[in-house]
Amino acid sequence: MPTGQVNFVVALREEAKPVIEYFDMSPLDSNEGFSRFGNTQNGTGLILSGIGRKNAATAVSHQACETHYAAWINLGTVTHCSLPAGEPRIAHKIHCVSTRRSWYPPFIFEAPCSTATVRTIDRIPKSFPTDDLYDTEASGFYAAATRFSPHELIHSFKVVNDNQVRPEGTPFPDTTSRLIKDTLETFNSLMESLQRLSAELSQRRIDPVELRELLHNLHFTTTQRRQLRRLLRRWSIICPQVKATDWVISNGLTDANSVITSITDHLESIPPTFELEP
Amino acid sequence: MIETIYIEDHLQVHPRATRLLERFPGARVVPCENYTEVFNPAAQSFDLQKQNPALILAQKKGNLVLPAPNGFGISNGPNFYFSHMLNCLYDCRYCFLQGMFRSAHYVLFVNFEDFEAEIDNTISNRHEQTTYFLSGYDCDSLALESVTGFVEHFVPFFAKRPNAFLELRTKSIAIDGLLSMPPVPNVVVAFSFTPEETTVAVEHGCPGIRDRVNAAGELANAGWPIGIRLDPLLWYKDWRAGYESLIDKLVTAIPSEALHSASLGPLRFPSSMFQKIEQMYPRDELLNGPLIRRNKFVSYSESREAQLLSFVEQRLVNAFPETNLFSCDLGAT
Repeated sequence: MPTGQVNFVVALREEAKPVIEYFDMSPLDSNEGFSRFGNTQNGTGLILSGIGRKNAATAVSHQACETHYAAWINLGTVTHCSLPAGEPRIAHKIHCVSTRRSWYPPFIFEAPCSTATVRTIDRIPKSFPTDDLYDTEASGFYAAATRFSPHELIHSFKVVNDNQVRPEGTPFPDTTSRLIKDTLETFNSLMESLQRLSAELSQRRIDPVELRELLHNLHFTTTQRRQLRRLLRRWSIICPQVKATDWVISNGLTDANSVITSITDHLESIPPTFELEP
Repeated sequence: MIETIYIEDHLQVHPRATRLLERFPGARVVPCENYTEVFNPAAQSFDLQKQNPALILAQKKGNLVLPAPNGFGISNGPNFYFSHMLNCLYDCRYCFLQGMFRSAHYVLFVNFEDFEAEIDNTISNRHEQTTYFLSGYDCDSLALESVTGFVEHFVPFFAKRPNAFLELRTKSIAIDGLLSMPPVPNVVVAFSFTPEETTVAVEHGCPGIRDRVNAAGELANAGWPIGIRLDPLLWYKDWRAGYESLIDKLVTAIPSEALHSASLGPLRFPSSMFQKIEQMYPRDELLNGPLIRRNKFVSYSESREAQLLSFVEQRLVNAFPETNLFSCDLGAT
């Protein structure tokens, strides 16, 4: 089973620092304007997006080029009118105040902490008109991530930083890192659930083992390659006791056309068994 | 069971929605403007969502009652369908819902009274002609009864409209509600069956075949009209023995006078839906079986389909000589 990949999109270095340490990530090539970190052993990656929904969206697109069937987590701090600092929340609704669009991340696993609506705004207001969490990235992140992965693999994990209005652009670095660090156990639980789903999706896309061998030995057109991939997958389910490559050799098939036709005919002749357990 | 409930903002004060929220005090309740915001977005994974679907409480606006697709009717008269719910508790690998909807969440339309008004409209437009209404097209009519209260609400409604038939189509054995009511001659409880082997292999989460047959028998003995739906017919090793055994069980449990109708249908997936379903379940035995593209559908070859239809039809007619038998073919759909 493949490991599964989880990408973290984080606005600020202070927010990212404890995560980079916890998952033992190393800096990656950062020559395109974003600092990136990763650990191939545990299937984690992190990109520093900077503040704002447009930066978050661009960072997702940048990171997506490097990974397939990945899960995505936007990790960051938020403000709230009354919740105490350090409270973790996962977004069950993300609302972009500027565009008035909403997204609803589905929970197909047990959420490791309470959930809430996150409202993404361009500037943190002086007062909070609703009892929701306020941030500046989640909607940009979510909209962009849904172009690369299904909704079920995309979540926004937020930690209440303070409920005081602070001057724009002046986060409290030490406090921020500490608050994130204190929630890492909860965060890790979310990460593991998503990693399992990412692995499940990756598993489905694995090519049949004999595909490479047949493609190496015979010339197949692009269409025939697609047909062969599907036929070999069917073969592995319908005739698991016989190796398709052995069958091709024993039937003296020496060109792509006859391989496709003969395997198709053979599979058509075998009914599914659907046997009951004894 | 239900961990998340999405609710359209304007329904927060709807009595049926309020009662449902009270039934699930531990659920996460998330307001939305319109259910389509949750249900319709692209890039949702139906199969992953199926692992833990949420409930969406919504109001159905427009198209409340629609003509039944060709080949899905249970009479030669006018057939209509209405969907108080989208999606099903069960997870049958041949079901078109898994290719039709982007989301596996259950959508419950709580405005039952609007459906009733539209049904009455439809009945009055047919001028005394007996009209048939199917309720299990986009969902299972009984499976989520404890949540929806659909049967409890609509059976008494149809009991007062003897010139209209309601078909409850189901694989569920949640029949207590029906058994607690007097039988209604114009409400048909139609059970879907496939042989025991395929039930286990492809009808995930459904009650076993014996339980379903027993439930049908119990309702029949209580006086309810019963429907037998063998749709889709599945081709596999020893399918003849499988269908014979199934029909033997049915004829033993259901007195022929209780049988309102039987219907048969071939396995068929619209081609575009099949592609989506196959991507979700690439290792499923049914989907990897001998299926071919025919007339915009993915199905068995014509000869296999003909063998299945004629064999099962013959056995059904032998078992229930007096029954109304309906058969759907690919040309009809």
